[in-house]
Amino acid sequence: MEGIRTETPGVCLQMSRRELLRQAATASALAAGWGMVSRRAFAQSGPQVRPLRFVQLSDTHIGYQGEANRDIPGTLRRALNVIRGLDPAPEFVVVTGDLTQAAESGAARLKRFRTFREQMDTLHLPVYPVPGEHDALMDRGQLYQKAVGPLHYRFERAGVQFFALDNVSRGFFVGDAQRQWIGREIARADPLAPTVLLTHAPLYDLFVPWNWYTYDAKEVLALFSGFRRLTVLFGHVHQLAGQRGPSVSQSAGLSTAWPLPEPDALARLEKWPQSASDPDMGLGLRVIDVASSGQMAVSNLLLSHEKQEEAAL
Amino acid sequence: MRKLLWAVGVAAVTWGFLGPHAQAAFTHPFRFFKRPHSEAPRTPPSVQPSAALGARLYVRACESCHGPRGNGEGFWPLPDGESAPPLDSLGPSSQAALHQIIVQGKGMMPGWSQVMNPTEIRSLVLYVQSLNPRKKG
Repeated sequence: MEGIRTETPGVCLQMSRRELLRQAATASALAAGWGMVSRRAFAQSGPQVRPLRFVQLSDTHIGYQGEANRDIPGTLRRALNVIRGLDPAPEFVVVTGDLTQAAESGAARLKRFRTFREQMDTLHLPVYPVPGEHDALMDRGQLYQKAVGPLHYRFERAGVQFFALDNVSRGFFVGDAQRQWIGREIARADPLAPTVLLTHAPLYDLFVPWNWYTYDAKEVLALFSGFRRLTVLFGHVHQLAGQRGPSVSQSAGLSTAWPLPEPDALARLEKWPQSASDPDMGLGLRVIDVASSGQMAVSNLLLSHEKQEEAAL
Repeated sequence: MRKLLWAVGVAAVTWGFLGPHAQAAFTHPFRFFKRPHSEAPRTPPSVQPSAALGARLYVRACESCHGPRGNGEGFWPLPDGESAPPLDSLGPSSQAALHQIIVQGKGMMPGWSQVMNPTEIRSLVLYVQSLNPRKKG
């Protein structure tokens, strides 16, 4: 074979083997050059990841009184004791919503937020919460902002980027205004660094009839389309659940309040009375370890029988 | 042929040597220049408002609280334990109010204009109106 010959009406292209090799070599050289330039450009914005451990608490529902959990403060105290006993100790705690149980009066809600904060302060660790619908849907997050802090924000730890998002205070969506904020923050973020989105509701349709979804999740995730290692940690569903896609991994943390049934039949979502023999059944927390490679490993710690289930994100 | 294979091999080794940072520059070459933009989930402007579109949106946005028949028997209890109001017994003069509530929200009801466009809002109004039987005479 002397060369590659392509013929179409009116066009005749002929390329010798030598020419083909020359072009391949040129393309490789250009690729190497562009790569070195862009690597330098990325290196200025890409933080190095160091090993990191943090804890995800979720759905503590402080203030709830009922049969689903007859001792909400006691369960949270047991969970906090588990955190204190972790070795190595975590650097911080994220709380994925429903810190408190909704109440009619603002004074009652404020008292619940204060109780939650007092409990968490005993850990002497930074706490990064996001609102749940019980915290923020009643008044579109006004009291939450006064008592706890901003509804959405961004922070960085050990080279890992965190976006704490609000997908509940105005309904089960992120909304246009917050998506614009995300767009501005993404412009300053590193798409190659491990990135964690903290939300209350999942960023996919887990079960729409129970509001286990985010209406504009696809649009939110599209904003992060260039990000390579994207993880969503959510709460809301009070059970281990998740979805692993090619570009994003999503998983729910355990609640310390009560477990909820798996979505199945199209029926009203109901919680069941707490077991007398095993009051911590289905309750727990999770520990996330980030390796220097950026790989995340999750250990789900069940308060009941102190079981541990491990998984990689 | 051997030279061709050699060239491909060199290119592959170069690609591997460049590492993920540079590879990302190739897979997203214009990332430095492209500003991420926020895009709301939109029904195309050519689509006309319809009760059929409203029915589809209702399943996704309203059914959990207001119920599949719009009678307030939803699948998801509101945080305060109450039920969402029924939508199948609205008064005749409530079209404007209904539109306003869907746009802006009320109480724990979301303001859907955050994520829906006017065509979608109008479609929801048409569908909710269809849940209310017209009174004869």
